[in-house]
Amino acid sequence: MRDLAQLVDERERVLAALLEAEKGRIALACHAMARAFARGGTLIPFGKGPAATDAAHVAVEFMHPVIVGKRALPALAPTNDPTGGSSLARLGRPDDIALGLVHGAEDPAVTEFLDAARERGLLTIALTGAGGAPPADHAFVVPSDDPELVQEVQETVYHVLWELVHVFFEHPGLLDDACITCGDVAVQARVVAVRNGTAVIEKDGLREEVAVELVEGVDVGDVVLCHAGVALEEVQP
Amino acid sequence: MKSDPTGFLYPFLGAEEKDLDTVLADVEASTLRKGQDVVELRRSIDVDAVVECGMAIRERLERGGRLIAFGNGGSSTDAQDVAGDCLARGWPAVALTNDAATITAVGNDVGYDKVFARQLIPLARAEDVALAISTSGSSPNVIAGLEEAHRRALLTCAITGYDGGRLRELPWLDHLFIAPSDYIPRLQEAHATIYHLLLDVIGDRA
Repeated sequence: MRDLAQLVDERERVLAALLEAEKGRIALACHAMARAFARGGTLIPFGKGPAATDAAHVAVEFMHPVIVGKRALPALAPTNDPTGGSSLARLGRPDDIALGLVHGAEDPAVTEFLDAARERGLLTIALTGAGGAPPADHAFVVPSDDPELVQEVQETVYHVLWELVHVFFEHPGLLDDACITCGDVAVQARVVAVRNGTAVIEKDGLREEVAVELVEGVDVGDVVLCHAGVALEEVQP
Repeated sequence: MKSDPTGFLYPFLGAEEKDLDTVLADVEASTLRKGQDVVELRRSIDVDAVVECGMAIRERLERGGRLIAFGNGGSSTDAQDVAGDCLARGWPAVALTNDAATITAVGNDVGYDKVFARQLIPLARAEDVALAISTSGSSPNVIAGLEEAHRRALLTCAITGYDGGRLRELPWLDHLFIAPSDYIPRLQEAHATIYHLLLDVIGDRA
């Protein structure tokens, strides 16, 4: 048995370090999630093994808020499906949010989940332990090798994401997806998803669907010059 | 400013329209405060009581007992997590919310109050351990489950919040941990620490 008081101190130290370092990015992630929910998106949390229980916890947190008066937000934990058939390929839509949970540095199944989510244009968020470098728009790495400690710190992070997403619903003016390409001049934006002759572009955290018929071979990650809902040309790096 | 019944959650966040940078700064400050709140709850954990409970659980498991964990909502995921962690340490453990068929059958035919007690009747043996997790301490199905476990001479342990709720009124309950808070997200985070510390005391099966 380890010294229990020391284990409690270690939790305090790691949680404080993470929140201090990441508070700005946590706030941005809350804002991005609130905008995705405002667009009609569903949260899809995913983890394996012990992290599967966190995925289920996240889903119930959003679906059935513990605070009376908070609106229910759509969430589905595919890890609750014993058939394993509720894959992201079946469930995910570009407006959705994928949340990957890993207590260690990496879980190949979660990396695959996040890669598939990015390919489909979902907003991606990931929580890992020390040494993690998950492919996600918002990644939070808990600086500890103790998987149970990492799990507890992650629980605070996902609770805070849930609690503070609601703050943005109190400021509806901050939820609108402003038309990125509606200005007088064309703008450069990054492609985050491509499907059926259109692409989803992102600029300054905002997203919009644009036609890509004028540009050949548009791919995720390309930067395109857009105006009035149409991609005009690819901008060479 | 419009009326907001949940305003107490974010005491310094007004509901009036603000610009994005102001709201983001408010959210950052709120994040730090929430972190401080859970630190205080964790400091209040009685580690001597954790050692005593963990040793008692281990004694049951060494006699061939199983850990049987249960709870509702987020606490059901805690029950599943503690059972999984116990299995990973080599001890037999099960969470009563793993079986959606039985939960929905009993809930539909008998009543939701009996979903845990009904499972304990055929499953539980005297050497087993019942570990109940309830944020309010008063969930009727959790109380009924513990009562059934006590009737069958199991070791009865519970983790709760608020002021302990109805769990505090069970004189026979062997071990009770209260994370003294009326705010569920923070007290749940302290619950995870309590059962992880218990697991540290229980240790691995030789």
